[in-house]
Amino acid sequence: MLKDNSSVQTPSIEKAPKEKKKLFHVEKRFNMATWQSILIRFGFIIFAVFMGLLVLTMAYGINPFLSFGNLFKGAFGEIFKGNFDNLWEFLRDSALLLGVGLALIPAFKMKFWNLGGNGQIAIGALVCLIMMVELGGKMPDIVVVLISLVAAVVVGAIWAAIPAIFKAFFDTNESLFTLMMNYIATGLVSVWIYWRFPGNSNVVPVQDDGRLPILFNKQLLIIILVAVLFVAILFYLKFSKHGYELSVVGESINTAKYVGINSKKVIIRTLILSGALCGFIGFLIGSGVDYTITAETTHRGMGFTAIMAVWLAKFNPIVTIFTALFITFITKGMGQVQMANSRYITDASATSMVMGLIYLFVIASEFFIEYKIMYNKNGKETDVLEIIGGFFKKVFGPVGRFFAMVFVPVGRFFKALFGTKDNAKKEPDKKSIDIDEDNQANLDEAKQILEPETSPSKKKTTSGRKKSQKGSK
Amino acid sequence: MNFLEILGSSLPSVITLSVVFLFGCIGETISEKAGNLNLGIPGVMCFGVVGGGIGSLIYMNFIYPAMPVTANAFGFVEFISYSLLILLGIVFSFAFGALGGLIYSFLTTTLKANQNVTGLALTTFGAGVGDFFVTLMCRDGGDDLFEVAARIYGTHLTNATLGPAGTTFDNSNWHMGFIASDNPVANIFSQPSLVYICFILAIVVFIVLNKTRIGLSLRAVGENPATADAAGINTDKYKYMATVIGCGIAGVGGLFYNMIRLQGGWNGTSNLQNLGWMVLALVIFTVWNPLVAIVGSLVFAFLYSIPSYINTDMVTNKFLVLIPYIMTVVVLIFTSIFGKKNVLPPGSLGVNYFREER
Repeated sequence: MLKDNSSVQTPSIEKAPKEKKKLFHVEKRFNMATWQSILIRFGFIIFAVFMGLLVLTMAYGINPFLSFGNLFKGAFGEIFKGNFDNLWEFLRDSALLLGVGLALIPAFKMKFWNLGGNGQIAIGALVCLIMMVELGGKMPDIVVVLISLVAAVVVGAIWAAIPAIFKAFFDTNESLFTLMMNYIATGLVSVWIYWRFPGNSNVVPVQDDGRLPILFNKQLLIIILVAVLFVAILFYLKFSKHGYELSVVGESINTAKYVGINSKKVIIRTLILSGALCGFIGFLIGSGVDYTITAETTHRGMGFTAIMAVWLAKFNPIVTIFTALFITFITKGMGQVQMANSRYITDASATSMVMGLIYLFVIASEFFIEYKIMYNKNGKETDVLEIIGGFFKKVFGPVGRFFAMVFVPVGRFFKALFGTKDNAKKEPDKKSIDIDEDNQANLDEAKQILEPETSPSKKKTTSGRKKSQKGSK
Repeated sequence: MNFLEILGSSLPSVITLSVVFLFGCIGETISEKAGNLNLGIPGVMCFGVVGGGIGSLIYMNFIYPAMPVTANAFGFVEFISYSLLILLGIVFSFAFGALGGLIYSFLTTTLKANQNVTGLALTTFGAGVGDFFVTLMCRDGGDDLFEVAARIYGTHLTNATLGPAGTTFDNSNWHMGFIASDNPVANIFSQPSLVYICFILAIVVFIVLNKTRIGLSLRAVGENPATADAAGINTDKYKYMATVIGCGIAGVGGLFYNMIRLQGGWNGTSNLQNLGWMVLALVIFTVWNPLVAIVGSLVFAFLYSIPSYINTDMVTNKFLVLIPYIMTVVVLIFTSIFGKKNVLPPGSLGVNYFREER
């Protein structure tokens, strides 16, 4: 160390300004184009789906490309054969998810973390089913439907208003409170089931009376109702005073106070809206889809799934349409993947694994959209994404090179997997066998002749054999 | 049936369940004290199940054939073998749980993603991973290995009785890690060693959180990260450490659930997920205090398992299931109205800290 004292000192002075800056640091991004952000998200999503399918391949040897096809089959069904049932169900489930998303958007814009969607849906469906069971058949269907609609909406609103009131007045942690309300709601559902339908089965029979009227098919009316809801919420958030107030409260309660907005009133009012809409979805499920109720599955976990849908859409109702469609697509598609491989996968584990992967990757991708990582090289700062983009341009720039890069190795891979290798192995074997069988006697003779003469190296003997075969032929 | 009889008959189940709760509760408490509301705890516990399964399979494949733990002879070799199993199980389940915590804190602390969303995503992912990989491990006789491993996990050192290796085990006198004996006191104090580890851990974590400088810094980060940052505390480091260690501990809870509560017979994620959500309730119920959590977890476990020990009609039964949640809500409300500082949630719970945005 002491020897190189002089030589060490000079570079350290040069290095000093460089060392002040870190190699990587994070900056806020302002100039991202929409198509770029969409491209980043989709890249991450596709990557996540393939990661998930790859796990299936490694675990059970399931062909990932076939699974990818099954994703589409699960969501859309056999459209080309004229069977649109699956497609309608897909649209209906997306609509329901969108509906829950619309219910959550106002609350989330206000930064009120309503994790109680499941409970609010369940309690709405419960009230709806109570009405159907108690009043169905005694009144005209349309009256029952209206009564159960109003009841479900009111009870859903009350269910969400309880945490909101405590949040507004005592600042009780709303995410924990609403989370607990989920379990109380589902518990109440099972209490009612066991109280109303005692006995061994404890299953609510499918109700024939008090159903939502059927328009063309079972699903269409639900989709239309959610579409109406969508327009209403869009106007409420964009053009009404209420919508403006809740976004101010979400940004800063102090600002709201300063402007003269009564934040307590806004919190309670918004949550009543949120709960009412969740109750409405519960009504749609009870009266229009299931006609029955179970404690654990009626809400379909949509309270949580919708949070993801809404959050991926950045609380934008229009974008939520697409995220809801996408999440339903993956859920249904993975269901089909599981069905196709039901001898390996017996539960929904693969679905939730892939969904979880997608969520995590999209959450991670969100960072690249909001911030940029600057890479510091020789005091020159460049965006890491730009470096990656430049790399891709360099590598894949010319189209021919792109094909060469991607498809040649893939082709080789498939060649290695299927056929060619086996043929290459079998052909010489067959030939050699034929020769052996035909000329067995000649070979024996040749051996006897050759061996005493050239024994030391085996190579020579073999070549000698071949020569002898040719000669004999 | 009087109360004491119910208490006596349900106690074995209550204690094993309370340990699952307690592991999760300690982990979540550490994480929440640093301001990370980790809703991914059910998923993290499923991660722990996978890790524990891997550790147990490694033991059953490499160590158990060399050093089998046999019936009625619990000598030095058996003790070493037993400790290796416990060690492997803890290390692997901790590592897997910590992996979940690493994902969570990478997304929330480094990438500043929303905590609720990340937690829910982690729960979805963990549930899938848990079911998928445990089912995978249970194929080709893996479940039999799990059962043998579970028996060894359930051994308690005072009175080891195991079936001969490789044979089917007679479960009749072995209940939830207990040897059923006539002496109730012996019953209470003859537990698998993981139970003692858990209770000691709760005390250690309490001391670290409340009596040491590290704990002080951790709580400062949770209460007000901006102030902590100004005071020279590395907030990111504390958030990372708290979440990773907390999730690791919760992962060990997953190991305990699968190996001792279920005796190696995995029955799907949904039950464990329910327990995981109850852990979140329990953390509120015990006001973020690991010592209170020891009592709280026993209370919760009692309330959770009591319905199956009382002979009432199903309606009352189903209503009893609700009580823990209702109690949690009541505690949440009461602490928020009348609470002093030390029973309130950490100040920045659920909110990320990004220095440049302030």
